[in-house]
Amino acid sequence: LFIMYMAGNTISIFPAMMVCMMGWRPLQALMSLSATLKALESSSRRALQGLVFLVGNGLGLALALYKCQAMGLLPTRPSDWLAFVTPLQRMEFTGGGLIL
Amino acid sequence: AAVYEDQVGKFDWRQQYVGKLKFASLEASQGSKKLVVATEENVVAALNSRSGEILWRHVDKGTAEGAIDAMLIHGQDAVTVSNAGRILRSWETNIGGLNWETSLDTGSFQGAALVGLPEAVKYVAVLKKAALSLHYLSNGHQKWVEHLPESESTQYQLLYSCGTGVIHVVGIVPQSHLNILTFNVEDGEITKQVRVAAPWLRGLQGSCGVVGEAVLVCVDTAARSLHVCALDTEQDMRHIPLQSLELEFADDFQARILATQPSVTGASRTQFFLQLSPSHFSLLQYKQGLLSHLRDFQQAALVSFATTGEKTVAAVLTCRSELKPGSSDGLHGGSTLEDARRQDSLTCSNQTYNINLYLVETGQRLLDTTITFSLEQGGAKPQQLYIQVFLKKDDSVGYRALVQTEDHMLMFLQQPGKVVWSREESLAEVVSLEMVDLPLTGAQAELEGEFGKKADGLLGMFLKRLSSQLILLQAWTAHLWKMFYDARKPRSQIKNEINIDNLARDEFNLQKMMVMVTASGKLFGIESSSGTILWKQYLRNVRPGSSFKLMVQRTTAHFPHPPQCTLLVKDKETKMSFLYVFNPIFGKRSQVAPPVLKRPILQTLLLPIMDQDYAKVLLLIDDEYKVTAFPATKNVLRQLEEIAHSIYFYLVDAEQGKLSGFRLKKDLSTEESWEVAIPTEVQRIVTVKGKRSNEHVHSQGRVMGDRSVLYKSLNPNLLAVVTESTDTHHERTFIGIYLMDGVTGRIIHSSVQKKAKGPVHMVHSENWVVYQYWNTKARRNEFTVLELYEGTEQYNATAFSSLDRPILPQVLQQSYIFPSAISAMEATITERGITSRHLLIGLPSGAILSLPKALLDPRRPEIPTEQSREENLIPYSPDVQIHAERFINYNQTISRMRGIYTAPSGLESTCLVVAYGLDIFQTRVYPSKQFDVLKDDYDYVLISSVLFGLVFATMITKRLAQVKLLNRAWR
Repeated sequence: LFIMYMAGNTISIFPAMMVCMMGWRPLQALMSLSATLKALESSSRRALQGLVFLVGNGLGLALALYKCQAMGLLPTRPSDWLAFVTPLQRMEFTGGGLIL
Repeated sequence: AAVYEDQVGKFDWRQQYVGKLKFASLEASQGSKKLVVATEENVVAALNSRSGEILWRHVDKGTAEGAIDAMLIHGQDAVTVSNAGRILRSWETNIGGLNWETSLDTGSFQGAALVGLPEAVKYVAVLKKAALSLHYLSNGHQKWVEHLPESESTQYQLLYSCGTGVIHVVGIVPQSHLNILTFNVEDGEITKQVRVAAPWLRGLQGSCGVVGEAVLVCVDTAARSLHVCALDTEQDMRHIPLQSLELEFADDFQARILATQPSVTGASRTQFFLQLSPSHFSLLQYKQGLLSHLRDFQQAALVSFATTGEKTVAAVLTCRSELKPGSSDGLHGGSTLEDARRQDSLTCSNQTYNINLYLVETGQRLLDTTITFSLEQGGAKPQQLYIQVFLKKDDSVGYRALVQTEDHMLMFLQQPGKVVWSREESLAEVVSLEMVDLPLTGAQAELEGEFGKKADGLLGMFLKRLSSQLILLQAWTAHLWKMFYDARKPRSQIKNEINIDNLARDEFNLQKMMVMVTASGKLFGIESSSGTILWKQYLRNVRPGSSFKLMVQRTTAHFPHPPQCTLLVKDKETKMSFLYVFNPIFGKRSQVAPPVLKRPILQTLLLPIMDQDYAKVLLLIDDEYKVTAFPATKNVLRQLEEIAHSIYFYLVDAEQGKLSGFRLKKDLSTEESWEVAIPTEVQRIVTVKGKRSNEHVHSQGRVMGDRSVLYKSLNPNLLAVVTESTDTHHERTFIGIYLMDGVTGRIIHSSVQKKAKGPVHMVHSENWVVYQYWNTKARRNEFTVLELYEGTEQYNATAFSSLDRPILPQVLQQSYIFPSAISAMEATITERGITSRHLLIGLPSGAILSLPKALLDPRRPEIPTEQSREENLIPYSPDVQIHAERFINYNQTISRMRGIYTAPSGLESTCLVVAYGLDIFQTRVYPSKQFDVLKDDYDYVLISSVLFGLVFATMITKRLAQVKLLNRAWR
């Protein structure tokens, strides 16, 4: 987390890789949720432990998203969608000029 | 923007012109290689008479100040008088160097002549309204200047000397008498002054000539007689009636006399031409007081004298068939224009002409001297004839002829009728230009056609696809075969000529057809990648000074309908207009009949709606504010009725200082919806510019540093109007800029720039306007840029209506200093508008500067901040520099540039540029570099060898791995 803070909000290869890792690891963990739950089968407070695992990974993911947002990687502003704004449709036609 | 050395001439070409000839001189020897010309475009040049190329060229000012009044040739020197007789220059004709230049006193120029003593030509005499001056030919120094007596009442017009040590000056008091002065060459003393009564004479030019040993011959059309007076001896004019010679004078034609003086050191020829009607000349001789008739030339279009050695010949250009008054083939619309011209137009019905030589002493025709040549059907008639005569080895006379036709074409002819070269000098005055896509090839068109048609069953479609693929295959094999065939031929023989039959669009649509309209009324179709003229068409009934508007009604995209261009021609004097509809690819007149325009047309509007044949609808508004539609089919009229409420016209009357808007009604009449008056006492409207209709703007806004969006105000109906003050005092002069909405007449922004002066050059595009003017206070050229933004919110994100705009846009403005004046300005344009824009600025030096628009951005901050850095804004600096590497035309300068035309190509990165003026230059520009094209020096060999190597290596290693696995398994 400290490293993430130190990495700053500029987009370059290392912070980007770190953010990717940060987002990817909780996702991976969530993917292997069933396997983890299986490992916890013996435990008595299985539900609680599972929940903590889920919340912890969720937090990690949120943190990664927040980091992405801070770095400006998420398309949340209108400027990110500017390229898709269609040209205005013309309602009137006008023409003419200096008298020939 | 600069090019590498090996790219020179790869994408660009330049053609140089001299303009319509005013004076020309051909050397009278067979081996001579040059002809010296002075033109209406104020150019002195020498052309190579073998190829027609320009050997050297000097371009003077384009205004009246540079106008060439006279050109005299003596040996290797050409003496020109220019700027209304103010400047006398002598040029070395071999290399085009200036020998000397002197300025003369003021006074309106009347004539110039070389003055010879019996042994040599040493002086040049210049006749002004009130003075005669004599200059040395060797250095231009003035020998003497003498005032002419009674110069207020007498118009001195004629200057003559024949190597006898005196100069004769003939002045005229119209319808009263002639004043003949005789000057001594040595000291300028008036040795003789004679007054000769001539109450019937109005002017000397044309109706008088000097023949023999200083004998003045004048023709009196009314009395049908000649008047003769020897300048040296006689005191009054002898009257010689012409009835005895049985010469018929044409009615209402001022008869003219054409005489010749072979050398300034000797006497004139005693023979001269008398022009009796536009097509009737007679060769007469006046010798020892006797007038004799040598030969009559009926049906002659032009005559000319030429001398070589002792022989003087007369060349006569005649029409092979009958000359007919007027053109009755009705090729072009506007019949009223034709009627007006009928009286002075004689056309040759099959456009085939003969030139013959006649010996002047006897009037006999010289054998084997006929040149026969043909001009294009429906073309122009010859206007000027210059002859180069020489003696062949066997002492017979040979000659070449230079013919200039009405459409400013120069032809150099050789016996027996071979065109050595021809030049299209009307291209020195291009007034309007459009670029049209070339048509698809047959095979491509077939494919396109397949997609265009309605589906007719699965099997039918499949068969059609098969057949079109078969055609493609056929075309491809034909292409391969041709390549194979060409490869066997030696390289020099392979001509990759472009002609009208193999015209086809290239892959990226980089090659286009340039349709050029010239001031002489000649249209040209020029292929843009090589500059070859593919077709030309002369509109005979266009008078000089007409205004033109060229529009593309149907592009080549609608196969099988041919593309269609429409040219509106409006005569300045009669105010009548006509439409000429043609196919821009082949130059043929279209079958479509344009409407006959009874009223003068004020303006036009090309609508994006199409008729069933995919031709865009052209609306013409006449001086009664009625609208004519072309094409006017039922379909079109129905569509027009539907959308009439959204069609508006704006008309700008610069003379009355009035801008007015009109709304179209359903019955094709209009009603005025707004009017803005700009008082003409204070300021006058100089330019009005709307936006280009084919412009695409990809980005609707700009991303700010804080990642919000600043939306552009893209009003398609916006007009930029520039006015200049009538007061030109440098303290009070100003220019005004008005941004107006063309639909509502609402003034969106107005500003007055004090202490500024025109000429104003302006570019209006997207959401910005850039204009350039002269700052009289700081004495420098300045640019001002205006940009319009809507703000961070769009009022209406889907449609733009001028009638529903409650919020005025924000206007940002900044000014810059530019170190040079400019002669033309235009913005680049690309297919989809993604590429960044550059301004192309034509400098008076002939260079074209490609200036990134980002340098002229009113958001450039004075103090750079974090946000502005984020936006990549360049900090403001007031001066815009001219870097030579930004010139797109390296050393191919364009003389007297009048305009730059830009057109998009099929590649988003590439914009086609044509600059025109006296020269024509075509090139391509890449404002954002060639991001969608592989570089020229792209290493295909390396890349493909690496690729193949890698594939090969994988195969080997795979094999090796297999072997290893097998070995391990065995172990």
